[in-house]
Amino acid sequence: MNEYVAGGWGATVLIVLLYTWRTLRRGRVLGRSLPDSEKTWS
Amino acid sequence: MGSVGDLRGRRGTGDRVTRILGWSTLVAVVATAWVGLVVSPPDVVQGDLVRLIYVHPAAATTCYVGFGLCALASLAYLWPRTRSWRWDQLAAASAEIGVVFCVITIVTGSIWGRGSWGVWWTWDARLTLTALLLAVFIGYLALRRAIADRRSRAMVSAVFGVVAALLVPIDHEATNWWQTLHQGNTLLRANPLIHGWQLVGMLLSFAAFGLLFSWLLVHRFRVEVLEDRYEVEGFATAIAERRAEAGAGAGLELAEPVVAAATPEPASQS
Amino acid sequence: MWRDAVLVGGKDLRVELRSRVATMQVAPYAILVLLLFGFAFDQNHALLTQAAAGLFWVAVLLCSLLAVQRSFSIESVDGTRDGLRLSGLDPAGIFLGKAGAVAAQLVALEVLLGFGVVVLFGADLRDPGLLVLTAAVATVGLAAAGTVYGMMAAGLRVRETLMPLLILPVVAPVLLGATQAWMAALGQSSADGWKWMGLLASFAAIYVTIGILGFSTLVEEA
Repeated sequence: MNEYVAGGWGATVLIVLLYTWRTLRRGRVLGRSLPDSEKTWS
Repeated sequence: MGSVGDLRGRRGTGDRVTRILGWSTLVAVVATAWVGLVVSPPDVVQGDLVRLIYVHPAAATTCYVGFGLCALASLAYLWPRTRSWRWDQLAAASAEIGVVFCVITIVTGSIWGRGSWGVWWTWDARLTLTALLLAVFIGYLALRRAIADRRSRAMVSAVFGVVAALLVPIDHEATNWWQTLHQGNTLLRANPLIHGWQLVGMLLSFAAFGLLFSWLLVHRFRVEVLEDRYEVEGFATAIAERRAEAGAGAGLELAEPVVAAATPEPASQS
Repeated sequence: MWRDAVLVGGKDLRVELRSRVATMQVAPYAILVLLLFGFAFDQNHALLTQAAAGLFWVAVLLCSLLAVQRSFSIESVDGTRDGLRLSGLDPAGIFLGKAGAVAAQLVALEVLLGFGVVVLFGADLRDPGLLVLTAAVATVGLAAAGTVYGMMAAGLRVRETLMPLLILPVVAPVLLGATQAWMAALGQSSADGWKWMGLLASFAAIYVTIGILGFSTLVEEA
């Protein structure tokens, strides 16, 4: 494998991980700040 | 009658659905990496560089799906009979995820071009179109962030979302004409005779990206719903708590009209 | 609809005539942009002549941003926007009027820029019919798209930075198409200029339609 493939795959993994972390964290913060009554919807 | 979304008692936006999706995603990603990086052979023409084919096309497709979903959700919101906050929240979530995959598409495309032709950018029709779409949807996200009123934000960004979709055919035609003029770089097109491990790898990559997109979408959508709830109800709750803390304080009589004005009415839409 | 359009467009142009912003501020800005291009390209005359079409349209694009900004900023004071909303004027007419006023100002600026490009960059006008027609269609598209997106951002505090971000990516195909058509008209390329005109016409048609259909929503909500 050459450095371009490593760069491409690496960048992809990095971006996905960062975005996933950010989204999940936002979810946790909101989960803490809201009462249970607000956490259900139809 | 159960509710469609139920995160009571949970710490974040995860539940059994996301756990299933998440683990499936992980399995598919690992399989793609295994086939793509280890098992499949280097290409006759491109050598090891071809391994980017297991990322770039799938990322591009997922990006377009994300933007397309945003446009459809925006349309659903604009149509009076189907109007619901759900569509607005879906539009916001899918646009953001679309942007993320768009960045991945452009980055991997650029790296691939650098490896193939030594240049970081080629004015290849598809890459240019993708860059334009990225700019448009960054604008969409910026627009959403700039409007504070919930309904106004939903309506205006829905118009934007629908109109953005109309741009795609125009930009596609324009960039294609432009490129045929220049007889330039041939598109990074997957070899139609692709077979064997390369085919397996590509199919796996599409599955992996599809699952990843779905998993992220569910989480991001829920974040959007919770955030809307927080905006509407959380603020009122915070004020009520503040009042309870302050008790019958001397300054409270002056604060009453301010607090009353600031407390939003209970949402009539869910 | 048309009567309201004339009403609003006339008002916008009258404000412009009295305040002279386009003539005293945007026009000098346009010429300045051309001069700056000259500096940036290091007086390289051959390069400037070759790039004349593209540079012209970039300058027009930049001026269109200012024109659209101005079109909405005149209504941001004294609750004028609310007045417009409550006036009972047909929103489609408001759109056509505002877009029309922007288009008129752009046409004047384009004539000025045209002279500038011929003088400063030595462009050689070979097919004036294509040039003028292309400019007309492109201008309609620019004005219509600018007005639609300008309205979205009009009431926001970050209007000045958001509007260009919304408008520029969207009008990129106009830049592409107009430049290609003009390069053909200036004899610099063998491209079919009329095909690009078709693209510009589609763009203009789409955005005029969007403006007419969607402006009522935007007037209500933005």
